[in-house]
Amino acid sequence: MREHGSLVVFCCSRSGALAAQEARTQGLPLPRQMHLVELTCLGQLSELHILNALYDGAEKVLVLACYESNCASPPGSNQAERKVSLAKEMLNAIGTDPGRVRFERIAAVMGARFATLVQETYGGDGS
Amino acid sequence: MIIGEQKPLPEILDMVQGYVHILVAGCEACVAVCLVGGAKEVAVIAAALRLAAKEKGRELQVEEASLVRQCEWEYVESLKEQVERADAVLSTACGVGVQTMARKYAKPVLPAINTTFLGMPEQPGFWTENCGACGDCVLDETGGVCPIVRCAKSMLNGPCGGSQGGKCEVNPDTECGWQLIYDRLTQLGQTHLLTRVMEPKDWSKERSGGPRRLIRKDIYTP
Repeated sequence: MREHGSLVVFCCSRSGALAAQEARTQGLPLPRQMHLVELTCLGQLSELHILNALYDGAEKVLVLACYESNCASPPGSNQAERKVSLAKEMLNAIGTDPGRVRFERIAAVMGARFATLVQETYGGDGS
Repeated sequence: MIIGEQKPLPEILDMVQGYVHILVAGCEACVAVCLVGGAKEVAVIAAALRLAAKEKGRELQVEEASLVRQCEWEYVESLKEQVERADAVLSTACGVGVQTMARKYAKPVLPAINTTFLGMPEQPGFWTENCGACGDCVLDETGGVCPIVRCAKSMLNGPCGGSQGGKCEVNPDTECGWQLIYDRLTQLGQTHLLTRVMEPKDWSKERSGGPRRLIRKDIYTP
């Protein structure tokens, strides 16, 4: 999370973290400079985490929430979406590209989707 | 409690321009409870300032602190060293906290929030104004609903003709204060209070009588 050009992925321990594990099990390519931050629930995510990740050198931040119908605590994943919107507004005010922060939803079994989202957001070749 | 709203970030960034060492000072009283000026909000503003400076390649040191109450001298005094190190203080306290800090230290103290009103929470993230601090309380006569701020016209003998379906003519989203008073007095079995005509208030006790001060003779020693 301290290296320049890295990707920080905030995810729920019940969805994104398991999808990441699935992607690794399947041997799907993932960027080396990807830092996974697993939260018990995305409801814990604050705009502060996003701002600090960018300040600490992350080029991009990807927030992976559970699908609403598949979420153990829907207010949590929906709140994360609102926090991402707030962070984007703040980045806009600061004069930084709000596109550096992305919000998506994912389920535990979606290893391939995890790899795709990470590669798309990272924008590199994964090396 | 005192309700506040954070100023737009561009306005805050404009205010701190030209300073290289900022202390962001919060308050853990009202403004922390209404989620605008406690330690967490201080951390968010500080993070935004740091990131903004880094993105622009500008040198900026940001310190954080949050006091139990920023409107009392002994707490404000505890920030002495941090304030002395800083070029300016960005305060997330209410206007009283900002002014206490400003009177205590010969440093610029900048407000990060707009102090909005005296109110209460209705739902998470939704507050309403409930007290006008008029200095001459009549809540005993109105079932505990303030006619000064809950009525758009501050009528003492309402409602006016603009009350329709329990809503105020000023804004259809606003409940008619006098409807609330009637409903509350009905609930309490005290509608007879509505038959009395309220006398004009002594408005000299309100802010329009000039800056107010309060002296407790049993405590104050000149």
